[in-house]
Amino acid sequence: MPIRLNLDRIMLERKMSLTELAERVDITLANLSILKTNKAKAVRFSTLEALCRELKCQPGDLLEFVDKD
Amino acid sequence: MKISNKLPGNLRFLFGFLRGLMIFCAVVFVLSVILSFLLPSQTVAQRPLTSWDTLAEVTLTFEPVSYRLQATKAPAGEVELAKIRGKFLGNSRSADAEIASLSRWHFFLRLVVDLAFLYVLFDLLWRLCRNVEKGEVFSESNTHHVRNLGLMILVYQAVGCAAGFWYARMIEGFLLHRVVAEGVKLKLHWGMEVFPVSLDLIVTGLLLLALSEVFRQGLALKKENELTV
Repeated sequence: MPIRLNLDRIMLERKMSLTELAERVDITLANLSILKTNKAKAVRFSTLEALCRELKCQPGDLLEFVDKD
Repeated sequence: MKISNKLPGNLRFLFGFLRGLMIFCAVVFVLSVILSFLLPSQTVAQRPLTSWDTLAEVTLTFEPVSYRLQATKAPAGEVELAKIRGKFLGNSRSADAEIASLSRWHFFLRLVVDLAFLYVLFDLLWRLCRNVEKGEVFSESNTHHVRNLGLMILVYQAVGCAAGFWYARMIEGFLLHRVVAEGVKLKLHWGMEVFPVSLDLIVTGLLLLALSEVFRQGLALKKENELTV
């Protein structure tokens, strides 16, 4: 996927663990892990909204387009 | 709702039982084959051939032959024979050893194929119901099971036809060499006993193949949905 989610970098900057973020965003640890490892095929707006709210960032900070060519 | 929840479990039980029954039938079949070799042939009860034993409708065509008919209470007349039509009966207990042997081999072949087909059919249905019972409807395993069910039905029909073709060729050869005289044309219309082609089964097989594609696409959708967070 050329779209990457920089969740691990922002979590490191905010010094927030995966478990804590999962509790705050109210999604399962397994789903958050899918997001963190960039295995997700789609992200719901509601999830993105919750992530931006808890990590105090913009969607553009989380999402990145990586051109493989 | 309760019925639908219990349905996969009940069906799994039924298919498991039928699968076991097929194993039992196979054991009985093997024992009967062994016994048929051990026991003298006279012990096998003879029964007259009936219309159930019809192998083919036979038409014999030849040069017209005139026969003079004489009756005690009717005026004399002539009849011309050019065609004879009738039924060719035979089974594994036929008086003719060659027909009996051919029929026996055909019967054994069909029985083995039928038993194998039914065993695999019930086994696949049992596995399918077990997966559904566990809540795994759209899974790799179920997609394979449905596809294999469809393929197996089509292969079963093809094998049945191949066995029928072999049997028909042997019977035709027997009639041509032993029964039909020179100058007589033989035409045969084979019965269902020889060619057990079922359009219903072929359509079911093709439908199952189409259904397996539905399962495959359903599985792809499910995988995508699982990776949507």
